Order: sequence, then C-alpha cells, then structure tokens
Amino acid sequence: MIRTNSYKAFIALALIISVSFMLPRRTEACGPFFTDAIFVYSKHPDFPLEKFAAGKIGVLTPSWARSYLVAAYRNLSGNPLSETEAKAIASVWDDRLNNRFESNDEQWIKSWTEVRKKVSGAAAAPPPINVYRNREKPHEYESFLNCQQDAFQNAAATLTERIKRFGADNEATRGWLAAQDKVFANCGLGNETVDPAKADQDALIRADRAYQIAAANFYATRYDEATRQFDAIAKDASSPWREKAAYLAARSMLRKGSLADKDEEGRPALADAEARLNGVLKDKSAAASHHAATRLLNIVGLRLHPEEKLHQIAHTLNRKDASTDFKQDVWDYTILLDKFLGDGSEESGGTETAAKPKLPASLTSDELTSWVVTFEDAQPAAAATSLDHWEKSKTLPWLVAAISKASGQGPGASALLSAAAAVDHNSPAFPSLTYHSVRLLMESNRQNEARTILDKTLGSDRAQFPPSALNLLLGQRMILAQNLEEFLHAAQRVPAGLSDDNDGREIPEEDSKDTPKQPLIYFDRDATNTFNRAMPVALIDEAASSKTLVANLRKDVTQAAFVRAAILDDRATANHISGLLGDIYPQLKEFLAAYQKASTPEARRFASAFMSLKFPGLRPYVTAGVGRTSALEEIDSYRDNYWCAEPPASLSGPAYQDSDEAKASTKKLPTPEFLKPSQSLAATQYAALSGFGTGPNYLCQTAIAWAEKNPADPRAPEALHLAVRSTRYGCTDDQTGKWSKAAYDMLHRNYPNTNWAKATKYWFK
Amino acid sequence: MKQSFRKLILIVAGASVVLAVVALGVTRNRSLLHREVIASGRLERMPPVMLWAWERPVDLRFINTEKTGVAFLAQTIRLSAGEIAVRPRVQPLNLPEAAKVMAVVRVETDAIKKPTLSSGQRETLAVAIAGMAKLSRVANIQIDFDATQSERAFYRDLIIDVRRKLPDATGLSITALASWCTYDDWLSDLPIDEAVPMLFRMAGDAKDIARRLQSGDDFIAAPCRHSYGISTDEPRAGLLPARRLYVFNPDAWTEDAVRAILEPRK
Repeated sequence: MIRTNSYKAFIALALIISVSFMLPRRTEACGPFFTDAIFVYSKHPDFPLEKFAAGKIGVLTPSWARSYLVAAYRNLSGNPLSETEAKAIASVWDDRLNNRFESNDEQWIKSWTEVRKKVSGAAAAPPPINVYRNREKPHEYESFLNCQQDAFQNAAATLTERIKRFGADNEATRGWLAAQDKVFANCGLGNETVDPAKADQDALIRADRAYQIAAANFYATRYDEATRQFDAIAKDASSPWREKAAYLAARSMLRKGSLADKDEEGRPALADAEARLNGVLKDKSAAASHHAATRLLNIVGLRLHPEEKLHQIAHTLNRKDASTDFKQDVWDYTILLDKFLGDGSEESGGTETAAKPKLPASLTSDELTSWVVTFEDAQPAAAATSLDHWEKSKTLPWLVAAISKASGQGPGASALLSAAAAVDHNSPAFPSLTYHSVRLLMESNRQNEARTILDKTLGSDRAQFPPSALNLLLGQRMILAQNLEEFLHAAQRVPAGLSDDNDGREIPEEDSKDTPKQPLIYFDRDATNTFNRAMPVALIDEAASSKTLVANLRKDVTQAAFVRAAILDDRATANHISGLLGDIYPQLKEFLAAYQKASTPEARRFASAFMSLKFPGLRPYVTAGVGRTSALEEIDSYRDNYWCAEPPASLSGPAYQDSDEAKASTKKLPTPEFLKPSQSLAATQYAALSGFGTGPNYLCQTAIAWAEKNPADPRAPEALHLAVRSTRYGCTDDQTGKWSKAAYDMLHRNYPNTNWAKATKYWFK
Repeated sequence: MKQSFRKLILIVAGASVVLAVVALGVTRNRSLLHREVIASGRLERMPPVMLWAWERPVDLRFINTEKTGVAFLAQTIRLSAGEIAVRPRVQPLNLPEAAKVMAVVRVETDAIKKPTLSSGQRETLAVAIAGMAKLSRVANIQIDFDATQSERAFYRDLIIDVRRKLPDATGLSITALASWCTYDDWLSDLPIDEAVPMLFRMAGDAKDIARRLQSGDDFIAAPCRHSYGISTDEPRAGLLPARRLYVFNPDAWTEDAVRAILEPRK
C-alpha cells in the first residue's frame, strides 16, 4: 500500500532521486582505531549542535559543511533561526552525522508482520520482503529503496481495518492479505501481478484490489501501467483510494523519470509528473495530498529546474519562518550546491586548495549563496571578494568572511581590526572576530595588543566560547606566553570531543567502557611539539615540578624529563626529577636508586636504559591527546612501546596546524616567546636525542655495550633479553634488525644457559 | 669384494633414500605450488590496477578495461546484537561494458550493541556475501571487515563458509590490516586467494610499514604477497610493480586521478 503523508518517505524518495549527487564524500579508513582527543573540530561545529543553531557559533571554519554555514549566516545577519528552524536544521545534522538516511527496514517489516499474524493461518513463516530492488542493466550493480516505511504503515492500518470489518478468518481478509503479499514480493526481486477481485465481492474489497494491482505494478517498476491504473482509480468516485490515486499516478511518473537510464531520457516523465502534481495542488478535493504533492513537486524541481530551485530555496532560507519545511529546504539547498560546485564541501570539508567550479552568475546574486560560496573558498581571490563585499555592505557576515581571509600585512587589516573591536561581545561573531583579530595582530608583530585581547577574553568572556573556539584562543595564548607558567596554563586543554575518527567525520564517541572517563585534560600537538622540540630538558624538569599541570599531564612530563635527561646524561636534571618520578611511580624507585648510585656515564646510561627496558611506557617525549593507555610496565598490544626517533603525535591538531605528519614534521614551529632565548640549546638537545635513533636501537646498543664491559653484572643477560623483546614490540627502523641480532647473539654466546637466553628464541627486524 | 658389494648396496640404498626424500619434497612442493597457482589463477583474470568504487556516485566509463578494473562496494552489512542489516549499493556506478569487476562487501559491527557472532548470524552473513557472485559479470568477490581480536574466530569461520558456498571459479579476496600481514599473521591458512594489505590510514603502523616497504622486506603472511591496497592521498614508495594495486580515492574518481596511478606503472 502506498500512503501519501509520510515525511520520512519523502526524505527517502528525495535521496533515491538525488542519487547522482549524494553523500557520503569521504569514506572509511582502515583500523585499528584508537580513541583520541579532538581539540578543534574541523568538519563541523562543537556538539551539541543545537547550541550552534541557536547562535553559539564559535570560530567559523570554512571547512565546515555548507548546512552549518547556512545557520551561521542567518545568525550573523541578525536574523537568527526561529526555534522551529533551529530544531529542523539540527535534525538535518543529526540525520547526516548518524547516517539516518539509511532505512530501518527491519523494523518496518517487523511491525507489518505483527499485524499480518492476526489473520487466521498467516502466523507461520511470513514471506520474506526485501525493500531494496536491484536496477536493470546498465545499472545492475545499483539498488534503490523501493518500498518505504509508509507502505508498511498503510498496509498495517488497512489490514487492521479490514480485520475489524470482515473478521480475521474471513475469506475477504485472507484474499486481501494474499494480494498484499504479492505487492510486497515486488519490493525486491518479484514480478508478481495481482488478480482482480471477483465481480460479486464486496465493493470495498474490489476497490482495495484495484489499488493493490496498481501498487504491485508500481513496485515491479511497471510505471506506465501503474499510472494508468491509478488514473482509473482517481476517476472512480466510489473508491476510498480515489483522493490519493492522482497523487500516486504522479509519483509513478516521478519514479519512472528518476530511474531512467540517462537524465535526458527521464525528463519527459518528470515533466509529466510536474504537470500532474500541479493538477493535484489545484484540486481542492485532494487537499489531503497537498502537502505530499508539494514535496514531490520540489523533488521534480530539483531535477528539472535546478538553478531556479536553488534561487528559490536560497531566498526562502534567508527569511525567518518563510519555509514551510525548513529541514527539507536546507537538505535540498545543500544538495543542489553540491551539484553545482562538486562534492568537495558538504560533510567532508573538501579539498581546500583546489579551485571549485563556478556557480552560474544568476545564483551569486543570492546573498546567502554568495556568502556561503565565498566563505568556503580557500582561493586568494575570495579574500578580495570578501573585503570588497564588506567595504560595500559593512555587514557582520562579510566582516567575518573578510577578517577570516585577511592577513596582518594585507589590505584592509587595520579597518577590519577596528570594525571587529566595535562588535558587541554577545554577538555570534565575537569568537570569530576575536580569534582573527589576535591572528592579525600577531602577524603584524603587535604581540602585546594580542595578549591583552586574549587575556581579557579568556578572563571575562570564556563562557561565550565553545570548546574548539576556546582551544584555538588557548593555542594563540600559548604562543604569546612570556614565561613557563603562562605556557602551562594555555597548553593544557579540555578536548572538544573524544573520537576514534574512524571515518574522518570526527564523530564523538558515546560513553562506553572504552572511553576514558577521567581526566579529560590533555595536551594538544602544538603543546607537545613545544615540549619535545623547543624546550631544553631543564625547563621540562621545571614544568614537571610546577603545580599548574593537572596530575595526568604532570606524570607524563615528569617521565619525559627524566628519560630525556638520562639519555642526554644531564645528571643534575635527572637526579632532580627522579624524586618526583619515584613518588609518582613507586615501582620505579628501585631503578631510580640504581641510576643515582651509578658513578660513570656508562653506568648511568645503562641504569636508565635498563629501567626503560623494564617499563616500555617510558619515553623521552611528552604525548599529545589521550596517549598510551597500557600500564607503564606492560607491553602495549599495538606497539606503542619505548619510543621512535620522532616524537609521537595525536590524531588531531589545531586547525591551523598541518594534519599531514610528513609536512608537519618539516614545518617551522611557532615558538612561544619566552623560549626564544633557549632555542639554540633546545635544538642541540633535540638533535642529540634524535641522533640516538629509535628506542629499541638505543636500548639494544646500551645493553650490548654494558654487557661487553660488565659481563658479570646479573642485569646484563636480562637486559639483552629485554632489548631483543623491544625490537619486536617497539618502534623500528632499518637498523633495528642489526641490533636485535647483535643482542640476541651476545645473549646466546655469553649467557647460553640462562633462562633469559632460553626465553629468547628469535631476533627481529 | 663383499665389502665393495656392501658399499654399493649402502650407496644405492642411501641414494634411494635421498632420491625418495627429494622426490617427496619435490612432489610436496609441486603440490603446494600447484595449489598456489590455482588460488592466484582465479584473480589473474583481473587487471593489474583495481579501483575501489565506494558508496558514492562513481563514473568510470573512461577506463581502459585491460589495464584497470573496478572493485565496487556492492553491499554493506552491519552486525548488531543478534541482527544483520544488509544494505545494497544505492549510488550510481557507470562502467564500460567490458569492465572487469569485483564485488566488495563491507562488514561492520556495532560498537555499542555488540554482535552475538552466533553461527546463525554467520550463516546469514555467508549467504549474503556469497550471493554477490551471482551479480552479472562478477568473477571475484572481496570482503572488507576490520575484525577485532575478539571477532577474528568468527571471521575465520565466515571465510571458510563463504568459500564453501562460492563457485569454484570465483576468487575470494579480503582486505587486511597491515598488522595482519606483518607481525600478527592469522591469514596464512585461510582459503582465500589474496589478502590485500591496506597501506593507508594505518595509524600507529604507518612508519613501520613504510620502512619495511622501502627496505624491500616482504609481508610475513603469504596471502598478502599478491597485491597492495593504497589511497590516492597517501603515496607509497617501495611497492613491487608486479603486484596488483587496489586504489582507494577519498574524492571522486576522474581521468586525471586514474592516469596518475597508471603513469608510474608504464
């Protein structure tokens, strides 16, 4: 049975019809995946998105999907979304982020089957139903959602009514069900035809049967036949299906046009559908189908007159409560923009540097479209366009666009800064304007002014900022730090979300047993890069001693300070930090004592290496994000053990950092101001540390060197065994095999009868 | 004389034993070799470059069908508690008539409502997967399932079931996490024609795998030595040119994108 007034059915149909320009954009990556912190979302605003819809838009990002930019534009232009509109657009985001466009057909069929069971003799083994139907050649690898939720709901309602009227054991009811089973058999592979009712049967049964015959043809993709039959029903004044039939005839034509092999082949059927739907809307007696017909007419318009439709929707979306179906209009608008501009922006964030196709000139006259397209455009010309628009209009949306694309030394920077400073702190533009004002000031070497703005904002307007926006400001404040305490305050941050980001869409995880509960304050990559590459070890020691850091970060900084100092043989620093490290990890005390007792550089080096071999979680680096989750003394199942030649990185980083590891490692890091005098020392230490190579290589070499000179040390065979183990479970490079074999050979040559040798059956490369 | 005779007998006997052992070895090796040839033979019909066509509109009418084939996502199957949801491809896929195609199934498990992984669930899943072989012109199928440690036994049994249900001539390929091919091999005795090592989005394994490839180290798991899975946005060095490439594109396929893959293989 086909019903007329199901909103979800329209969404589903719109999706089927819009198959040529549909989601998703970027698809799944390979695992394994680990939960990590996202400090700044780049694909969408912060959750809950309802707050964004309500005007808390944070720092606007051009890589967000266009639907977010629509909401942002409305809020920036002083025309905030009404409560109804906010709910509607939040529902679009919810559907898209949760892949809600996928059907829940198991549930539809289950509900139908429950009602079906009430007919006598129908309880056992209901016929299987597949709601998807495979298309014919040349589209044989594609399917479409043929039977939608409303069909099952309508069938269930009709059957309930017929049971009530005729009884569950009545031949008329059983006949109705047998015909309906054939209708639903056609959802999938079936090509069933339904026989007409006998002339002497009840008039209602005969009318039902005529409707079922047309429906069976509709689902069997015999659209011309179905259209003729629905037309006939529409003319039958006695049929209870008469009112819907004209609409369903139009729907048959729409389906025919949408599923044509080629677009141009489908146009006549779509034009027919359009004419029929306009007819339905003019017919007052078909008022019950008007809402549904309007929706189908929109779908036809999307296919037949996309430019006109986009223009019309842009106009509607820009006026408060002008749309009767805001959700559908946002959906259609973004899909049409995808069609014109390619699929580079909606949902995926797109390719920032690639030039996008141009919109037809007629469409850029729409203020909303012009702003969305310019704001998301990363090309240099978009900066000039934005500035030009702002200079002419002096409106807030264009101020945000212009300042987002401006540079500190570029044209208009001074005027943009003045205009931004005059904007009220409660304005939805305030976070964007603050962030970019500070950026422009930093780019023009006006650090003090930038710091003043940040301190004022972080002090009194913090609540205005969603977590991503706050983290962006903290990133700026960290670079402007004048001392270690300021740096530490800005370096530790609350993530915007935790996610394994397995499909690149930055979907935060729901709470589960795998989600870290506490603590939820971590370092982002800009902070760890500073610790690992730009900070002398003595200063890392000082940071570890600071009470400013939260406990989990202090633990990490402390272990990094000791391991780094020990590798660099900075005895004073290592001894200084060992007390704190022992307090944090009492299991290390015995090994730290051995280190402190060691009197030569070689002995110290071996003592610290032996501790690292026993505790694979130790490393000379501070880790971004959630970090290593295995216990310090345990081997991590995913080889996050010991250390690599390069510092570890988190899944994400601030939007202004390069997410590409290779590029990020060669990019010049912005250095916090207070560290500038110590850059030479930091660089020397970092170079020395990198020179030791990956952890397992260093540990093997140290164990071998020690065992060679101190063969009687009882730790020597164990160290060699653990060194070989480190080459299996740790970070390796092209030298690792050589060192693994050397440690293995020495163990078996010098200590052949020890349990350590017996436990070491292989070496690794 | 007797001693000489004994020596002769000993030599003949010794030689016979050696010959027998060698012959047995040769036979065994031949047997293994034969099996491997048959296994990889199913996939030899496929072109040297296969483009993954995921659930998005894909137009590849421009490809040279001798050099390039298409591994298209035919269905996505989600396991959740005791349920199985099968979603066929709904996005357009336009191909040349002569395109050589492989049907791919993506298997996903619900992280919240953990699947029961029952034998009934496995049977339904195996039927749905093997059913892809009935699609027109589909000579081989591929399973994409990032099975976790706890799902591995289920996946192993599933592969065995699918192989049993497939026509003998239909090749069975699976995608493999790089770790499965290197330090966590559980693939070697599976009845598969290949396991495609996925050399992109590798998280923690990325540097180690890159180093292995560049230093010429091969994968430990034998099924991983037929092909590579790469992505257009993560260039990989050190790949052996004789192996088939499966290529993922996070953006839309274009002629330029395909040319960029084929050019270095000329």
